[in-house]
Amino acid sequence: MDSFDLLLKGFVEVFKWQDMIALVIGLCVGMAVSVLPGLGLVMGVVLALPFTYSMSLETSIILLTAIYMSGTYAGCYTAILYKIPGEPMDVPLLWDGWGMTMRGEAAKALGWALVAALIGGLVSSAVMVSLAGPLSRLALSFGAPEYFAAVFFGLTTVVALAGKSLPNALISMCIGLLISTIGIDSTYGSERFTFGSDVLLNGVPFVMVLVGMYGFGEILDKIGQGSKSITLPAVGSTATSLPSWSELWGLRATFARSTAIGTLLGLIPGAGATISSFVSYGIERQYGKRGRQIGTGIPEGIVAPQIASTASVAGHMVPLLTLGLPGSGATAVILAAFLLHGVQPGPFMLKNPESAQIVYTILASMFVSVIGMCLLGFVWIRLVIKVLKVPQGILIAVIALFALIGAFADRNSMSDLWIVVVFGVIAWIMERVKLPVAPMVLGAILGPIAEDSFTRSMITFHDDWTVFFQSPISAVLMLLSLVSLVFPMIKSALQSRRRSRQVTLVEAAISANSG
Amino acid sequence: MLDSSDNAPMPGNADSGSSMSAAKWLADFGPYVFIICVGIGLYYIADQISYAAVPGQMGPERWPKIIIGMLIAVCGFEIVRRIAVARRGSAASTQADDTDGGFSQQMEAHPLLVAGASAATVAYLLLLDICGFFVATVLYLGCVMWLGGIRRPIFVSLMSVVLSFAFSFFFMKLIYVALPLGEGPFAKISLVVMTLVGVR
Repeated sequence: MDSFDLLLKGFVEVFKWQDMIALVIGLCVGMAVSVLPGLGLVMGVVLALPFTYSMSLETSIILLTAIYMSGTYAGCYTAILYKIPGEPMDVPLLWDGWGMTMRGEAAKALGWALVAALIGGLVSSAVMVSLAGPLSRLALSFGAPEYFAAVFFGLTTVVALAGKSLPNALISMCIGLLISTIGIDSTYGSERFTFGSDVLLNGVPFVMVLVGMYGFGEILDKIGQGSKSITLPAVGSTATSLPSWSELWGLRATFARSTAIGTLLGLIPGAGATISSFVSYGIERQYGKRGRQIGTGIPEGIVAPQIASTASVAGHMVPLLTLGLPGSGATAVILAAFLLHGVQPGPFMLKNPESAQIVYTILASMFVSVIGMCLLGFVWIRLVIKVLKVPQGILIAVIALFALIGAFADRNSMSDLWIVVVFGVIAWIMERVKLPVAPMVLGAILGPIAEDSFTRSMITFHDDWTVFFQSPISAVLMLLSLVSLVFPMIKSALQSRRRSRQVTLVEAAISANSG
Repeated sequence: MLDSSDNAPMPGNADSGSSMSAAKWLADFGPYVFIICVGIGLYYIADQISYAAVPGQMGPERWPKIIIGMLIAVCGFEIVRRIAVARRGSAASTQADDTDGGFSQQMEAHPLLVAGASAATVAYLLLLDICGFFVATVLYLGCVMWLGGIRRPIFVSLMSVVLSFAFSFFFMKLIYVALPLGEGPFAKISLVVMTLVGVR
């Protein structure tokens, strides 16, 4: 059966009642968490994860993907209407969106955001669906060295894009990788770093690491910020007014550019919706026809970031489904959902007709999610925005309990709850000392895959380290990994030197003037 | 690393290079030195991992050792880099050092609230088995709402009870989670709550 037939069948599956209910719930949850400042879409996906235990694999991934997709969109409402960015990715939207609202064009601004999300989501999903087959065929040719190189590339790009300090990001990644080694080793069956504890014999469950770091850690962060009541400015209407065809045609270059940026950046591990949104806004400002006016309240400033952030979702989902590699926090949680159901996503899923159908159903659900979130946004957003009026104390309490009892629901184990709390506190401390959380989480999740492919490579090729540079695919991936690590260091050194030169010049000028 | 507006001498400042306070040194280098020490300890533990060795085949300790080695190398590199920046002593390098973060501490407006919430959560986990889900949750929710800024006792109490009922219904009745019932009289309360939410 070819890809198109599988996709069509996938659409039929999505419209079955279980999947459709999961999709609608996912869209609503994603919208709710993305309008709340400080609660990210990753947290929404994490909180939903424990509730997927009893669902089928297909339904659970559809639920989580819907949260992820709508989480990139609904924040535009609060950014445009109230100047409150629900997510960091909504910040560029705010600059022009709020400008249009101040001129009384809020409905128009919301219309542009809706069309941008719709086009960005649909086009990038279509591009990625067409790439799924070739990508998985390529991945099937991967041996252990190529697979290790791919995981290594994923980890290094996440490190390179994770924060201001590359060493701190590397430290965070190493800690995550070390956490993944705790427990009984799969090759030799020997205990590693268990310190005599029975609880650690089975390793640290990565779901608890995720719930702790992204769920409970965020709750502590919110509490630490103190209670801030949000007062919503009076806005005449929250209605959406769609742009005309001629207006859309006028912005065709912006649409094309931003969709391409979002989709391509989505393919790069670590470059999530936020980076896509900022890069697209920056490129539009630099190369757009009205680039100089961006920031004053023009549609290009809304379209470029919105389209790129929504387009990045498909860009992240397809490498996950075809290679088994998550490139962002949200896709790491989705990978966790796969593993909880005993399925390792990757190229073999497309070889088996049954699992191939699941993959294409998930891909079909992305199209339905894009359309669904735009429809919901159009008719239901007034209710979603009311979430902002719920007192923060109640929200925190509810979310904390969902995180804790959701984690407990997995195995009815109190030790899992302790792990959640410990990792929540660790995440909070890491945020304080500027250690990025994402590399540690991805390290903990990708660690077993990296170790397995590394061990197999070393055993098969008799400890020959050059094996990672022998095949063209692994060599290219390893070189790209090294470039992604070295480039930020060179860039930082050059910036430092330039700044040093500027200061010397200023000092010389001051001393000349005073002389 | 302190905020750039801080008046404390910076490691990159030529005048301050020698007069760097112990606290400043600890803040700048301490975490990296600590990680190196922990790394060395873990490396030693990894070295003790017992397994039936197969000739010519890597053992289960190799992978953790590589990671620990990388961890120590990164920390060592960062310490050397920081010392080099401090020695260079130009204002520019100080600025550059500021921007790269390091282990700079960014304190919350309310760190005590975070400590309170963590303590409340630990207490909740300890109480779950003794008091059962319902009673422990009422107390926990009340505590978190209070820490979250709601300071109306009657409202907080009512909301805690209502939410605990809602959660009991959701977790026990809808998704069949076997939540702790508690001991003695608390078990009786849990059974009453279970009957009220329709769990037999």
